[in-house]
Amino acid sequence: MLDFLYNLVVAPWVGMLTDPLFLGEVVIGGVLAGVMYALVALGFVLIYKASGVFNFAQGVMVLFAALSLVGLMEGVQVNYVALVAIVLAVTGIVLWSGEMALGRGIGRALFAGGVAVGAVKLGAGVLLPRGIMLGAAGLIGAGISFKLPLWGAVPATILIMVALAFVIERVILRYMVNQEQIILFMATIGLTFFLEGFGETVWGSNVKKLDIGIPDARLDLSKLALPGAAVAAIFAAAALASVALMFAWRVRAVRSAIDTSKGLVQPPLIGPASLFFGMAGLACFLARFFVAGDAAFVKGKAEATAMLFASLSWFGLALVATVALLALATWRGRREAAEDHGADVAPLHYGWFVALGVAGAVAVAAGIVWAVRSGILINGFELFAAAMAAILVIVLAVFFQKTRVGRALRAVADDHAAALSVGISLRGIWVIVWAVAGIVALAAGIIWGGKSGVQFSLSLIALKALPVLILGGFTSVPGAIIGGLIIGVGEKLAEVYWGTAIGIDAIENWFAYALALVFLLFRPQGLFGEKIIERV
Amino acid sequence: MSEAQHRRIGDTVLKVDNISLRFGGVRAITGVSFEIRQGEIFSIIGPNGAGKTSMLNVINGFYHPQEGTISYKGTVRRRMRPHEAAATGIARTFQNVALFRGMTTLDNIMTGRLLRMHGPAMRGAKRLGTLGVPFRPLAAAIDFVFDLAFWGPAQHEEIRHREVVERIIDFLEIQAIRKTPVGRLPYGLQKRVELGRALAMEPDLLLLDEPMAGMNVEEKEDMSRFVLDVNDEFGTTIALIEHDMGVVMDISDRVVVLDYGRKIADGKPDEVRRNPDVIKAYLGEAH
Amino acid sequence: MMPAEIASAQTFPGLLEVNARLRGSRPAIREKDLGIWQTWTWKEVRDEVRVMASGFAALGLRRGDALVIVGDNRPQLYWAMVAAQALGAVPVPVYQDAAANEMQYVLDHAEARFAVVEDQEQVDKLLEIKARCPKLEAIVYRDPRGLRHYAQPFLHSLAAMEAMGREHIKQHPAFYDEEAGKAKAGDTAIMLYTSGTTGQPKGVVLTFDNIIKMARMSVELEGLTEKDETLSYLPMAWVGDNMFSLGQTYVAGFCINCPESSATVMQDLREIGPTYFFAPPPIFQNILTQVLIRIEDASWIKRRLFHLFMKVARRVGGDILARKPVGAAQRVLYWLGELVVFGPLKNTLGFTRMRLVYTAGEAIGPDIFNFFRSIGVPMKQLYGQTEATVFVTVQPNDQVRLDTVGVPCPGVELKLDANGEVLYRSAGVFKEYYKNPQATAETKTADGWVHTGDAGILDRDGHLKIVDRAKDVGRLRNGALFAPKYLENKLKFFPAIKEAVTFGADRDYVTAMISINLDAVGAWAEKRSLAYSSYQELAAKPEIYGLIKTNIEQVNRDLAQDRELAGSQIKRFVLLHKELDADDGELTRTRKVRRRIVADKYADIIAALYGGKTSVHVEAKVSFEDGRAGMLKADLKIADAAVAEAPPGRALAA
Repeated sequence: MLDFLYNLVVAPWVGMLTDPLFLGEVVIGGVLAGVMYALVALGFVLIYKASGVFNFAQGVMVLFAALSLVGLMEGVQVNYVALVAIVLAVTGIVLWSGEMALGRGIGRALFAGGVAVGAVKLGAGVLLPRGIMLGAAGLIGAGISFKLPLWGAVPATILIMVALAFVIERVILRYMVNQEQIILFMATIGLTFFLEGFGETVWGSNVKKLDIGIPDARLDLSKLALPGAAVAAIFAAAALASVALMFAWRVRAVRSAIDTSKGLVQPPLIGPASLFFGMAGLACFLARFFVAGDAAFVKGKAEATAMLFASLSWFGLALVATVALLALATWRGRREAAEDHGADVAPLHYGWFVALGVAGAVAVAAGIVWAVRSGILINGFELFAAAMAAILVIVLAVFFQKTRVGRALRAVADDHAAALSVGISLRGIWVIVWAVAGIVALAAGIIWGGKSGVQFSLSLIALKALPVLILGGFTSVPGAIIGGLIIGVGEKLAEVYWGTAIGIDAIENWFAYALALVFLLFRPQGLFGEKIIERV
Repeated sequence: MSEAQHRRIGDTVLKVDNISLRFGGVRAITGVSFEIRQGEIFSIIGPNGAGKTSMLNVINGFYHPQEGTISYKGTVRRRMRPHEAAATGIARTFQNVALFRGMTTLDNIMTGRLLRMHGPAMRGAKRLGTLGVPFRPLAAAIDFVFDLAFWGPAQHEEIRHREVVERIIDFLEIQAIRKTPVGRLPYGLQKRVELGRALAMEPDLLLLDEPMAGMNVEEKEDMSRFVLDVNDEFGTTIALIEHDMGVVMDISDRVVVLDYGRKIADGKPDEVRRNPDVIKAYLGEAH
Repeated sequence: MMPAEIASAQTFPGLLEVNARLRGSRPAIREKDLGIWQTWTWKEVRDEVRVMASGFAALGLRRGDALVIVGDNRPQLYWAMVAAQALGAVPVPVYQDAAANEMQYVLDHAEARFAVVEDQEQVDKLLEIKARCPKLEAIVYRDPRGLRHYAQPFLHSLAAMEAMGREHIKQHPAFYDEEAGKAKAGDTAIMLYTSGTTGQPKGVVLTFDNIIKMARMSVELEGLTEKDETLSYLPMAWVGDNMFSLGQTYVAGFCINCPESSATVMQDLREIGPTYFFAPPPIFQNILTQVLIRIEDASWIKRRLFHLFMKVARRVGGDILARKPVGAAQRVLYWLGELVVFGPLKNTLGFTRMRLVYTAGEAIGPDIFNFFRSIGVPMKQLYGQTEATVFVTVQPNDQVRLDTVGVPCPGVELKLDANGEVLYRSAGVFKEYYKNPQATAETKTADGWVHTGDAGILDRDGHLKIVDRAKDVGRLRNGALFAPKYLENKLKFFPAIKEAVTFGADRDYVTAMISINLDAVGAWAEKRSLAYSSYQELAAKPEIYGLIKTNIEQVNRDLAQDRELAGSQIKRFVLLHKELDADDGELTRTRKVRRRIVADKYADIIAALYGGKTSVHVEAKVSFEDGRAGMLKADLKIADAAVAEAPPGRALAA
């Protein structure tokens, strides 16, 4: 019994701390898995935020996007007639959704034309006796075949997903405008089945391999290593240069805000960041120096250094986590106070949170430098995935904040009636949102497909994204990301450390759902979602 | 009122002709007709449930009447949707304040500029008129990319719109709450921000649904002053629903009275006030 | 040290020329317009003043005329003052929230021919009273909004006047310099009407010498330089604003900043981060109340940190500011507090760069005073009057104390007469009360000593302590001392109490009428889930009565400590249904209580307080900002407060 308790509570932690290098690999693997979950959840969040629909078909959109991509890369044979039919139909649908009545009329006609042509082709293939068909093969059977390289296939797939968004809006969403959520949800289930079948019909049902040119193998990072002393020196120089900056900022920022007639300048993070940058680097440098000296209880210089750096970076990580939690608590407290009292409660100051957090981050950076030198194992492909996800998130953030369309999206997510009154076309927005969700699905499809091949179980990802949404909140973009990371890392940690300790297999499969259950009990709106209070 | 003499009241800009609106078995509006002229302040009054907000919703495009037509600026409109109405110059405020709660005052008023925020490509396409219609989606896409990169032209536009919004903030005296999320504002200020957003659309016709609801005397005076100033300075036609008789009599040029979905009076404020049907509808008590 | 040129310039137009020459490209004045700060340099200001003066001349402003100025703090209004002075006219700023008939008195008395106002609101007020001010010939307005259809020929927009001014300059290029050169140090620079607590306002005539000499003295005393920044948000009709935003600015050359509107002052304060600041105690009290409310609403960790470091601050903060010796450990703790709490707090309030902070006008509560000093805001007190051109006494930086108003400023002589009334004599003593030789003779003695009307004492360090208005100090029927201001100040130190008026002269015991502070009490009520929908409803709640009762009993306990004051403990009190308001004539424009008016208006309540009644019905006339009247009705409860016993066996010296 005691044994079991020990294995449950203590052993995993011991396991983590005794081999920090391995822990690092596990965590990194978890982060990267989490990023992939987050991408899928992101698609859900976008659609839910803008149209209030829970898109069950998100997973299958990932599959569909990946299938299209692979299909285009492998080579596509399109019958001329079919091609004409498709082009007509799609152009028709796009125009039909347009603003001008004339365009709408033309669109309707084109769409009808496309459907007619397609019907003719299908019908001919089915009904005409073989002889006539073969004879007419010149007309009906001929087509073009082409193969696109990756850089061509991706834009083409994006176009396909955009067209898909138009079609979905025209065929499904338009008629569901004032229906209940459950009906919309069922519509998306139907969409799921349709897309699955359609994808299978068009692209075939075998597992496909997606090769995007990045090897799914460990990276050889040894060439990147810098001598530790150089790294520490850089850190220290940055710190010295910026201490002055940090204290000089106070006066300057206010001044410059006035005289150049700009808004109030936010304190640059450079100041406190570099200060602690330097402090941490200096500490590492000194520690190395100290350890390199004679110390009988240390086994060997190299090993001791390794242990030190490893401990530092974990300490840093713990610090970052603590600061993040504190910041979260502060922000939430402020938000609640604002809701309760309507007072403009400004934060006392986030500067020191930032400073501490950056100190930790820098210690982590030091750890990474060491890890790289020690030859830690990072999978190149997973790194690419994380980078792509990060870029996507940044682009989305910029999109929401800075662009006109982004503004309109935020407005629609907030209040439909008001958005309409301000001149925003709801249906136009829906098309955009579904198109963006489609592109995000494509990104997710590339990553998942690249890792494990494009197969029909890809659509089950939708299920894995559900716990992510519950954790992060259905309407929060940062929530989707953080939720994904928590689940990704948590899964892996649980699998590796608790699994081996207690001897339970496949914790990875159900950990996410267990966590989601806990959240549903205690915080159903997730970490970042909005509390929905309904009047009874 | 000396100011009325200065205002130039022109021709009919909105004609409501024999409108009937039903929701299932409920008749919200029956056979209502009236006209609103360019540059005037027009009030729609009546007891609760008389169909005033429904009338505004019909003008705005939220509801489509089963019978009757609406002509705006001379053209009869068929089943116009709200966002299309907005594009033709009709701006609207709501009884229950439909602001974007997560955004600040400044951002909310900026959304009023959305219809006029076009990137350089779209402006070019619009200049081509009907010829440029097919190019518009492409123009939108090009502008979108411009936007993401936030290049020169986009920034310039941004500043121009910001100036318009700042002037509105100055006009409505809400500088102090520029950066406050509107969800945190008291009701009276929210109504002012909503008015600001409607003004940012530079509308030809401004529909105000109970703009003075829930305000004290001073706030009502301020709001009345704003309404009058808007009409005076920009010549905006204003149609408002209001319960405070004092305000209605004070600032309106003409008034229409609805009761149980029907029009029972129509004319200058003084005439309407003395109309016996109107007095009866309000149970004999003037506000 | 001041450049010789500045030391020799004797008038404002003269100083303006000097500044334009010496520091022509440094910022002189800023205004926030449409969300961004617009700056004018000294050179630009000089050019604008020149244009304005010419414009006034074109409109017919003559030497010796009175020019009334009404509006918020705006650059153009400040320039109008100097422009008028350049022509030898006398600017007469008037409080912008004055009602029409208050303005009418001033305009009539000053025989104003011209007025420069800010916007439509002020124009409307003037139009209303124009019939009763026959001398008023022209009104110039700054903001044209809403005035498009005003067809009166005597109304001119500032823009139009400036166009006229530019024409005038073309035709008479030497005009401005000639006229400005005629100004002498002893000429009237400005006339300020004091908001007398009794009777009609009196016009205090101040000369260039008055203002400039006192400005020079204070600039040297406090070491103000051209690099300083200050926020001009106090009424232009108040002598303090004229000293800070005109006198000291022109002498030292620093920049003043005009806020966007009165509602945005706190935000603008934060954006500018001035180095030099003045506020009367109620504003500091308000700031402190807001801070405490915010802290109560913050997360628990912030609350803990705040209270933890505030303990440290209260222990050593004031000493550190006063440069007294403090232990090293305490210093480190305080430094940590500065990093984590005080620094960010001051930053949020806009106090980070302040190195000179004045407060004056009334006694300041110990909580407020100690709070600000302990977090490092160098607040200190001064004492002055309009008739003194502000400065009579100031606390030196190393002798800042709560209960004094400081030592006489350099060049100011101070003495106490037999009744304890404070008299002073200085270069800043006003010339006379306009057209009121009788009042002038009553206030100023033949050899230049001025009666302040305040009773005070000098302590052993030579600091002056103000006890009360000389004529308000009275006695109860049993002979006990009754100093109403003293009691009221003690009451107002509690955040829940906004305004208090005590009665007791020739009565058996002391009673108080109190108006609660809506913000603080509202927050208190919300914390206890008490619902209320209006000020009146809140002030009628028994829980609030309980809260105020506790405060009053605290004051009574303090009073009981002192044999002299023990007799003036407060026995009964009532919570008013509305705040005391300057618009209703109950307060002056500087928020001092008008005792006689209040006593008349609330005679019913006073009778009930002394008649042993437990409630009283009130019907009060109230007036709105535009002068219209309304009626407010309420039933007010009267409650008793416990009187503390003097601690046994304590024989205190007087």
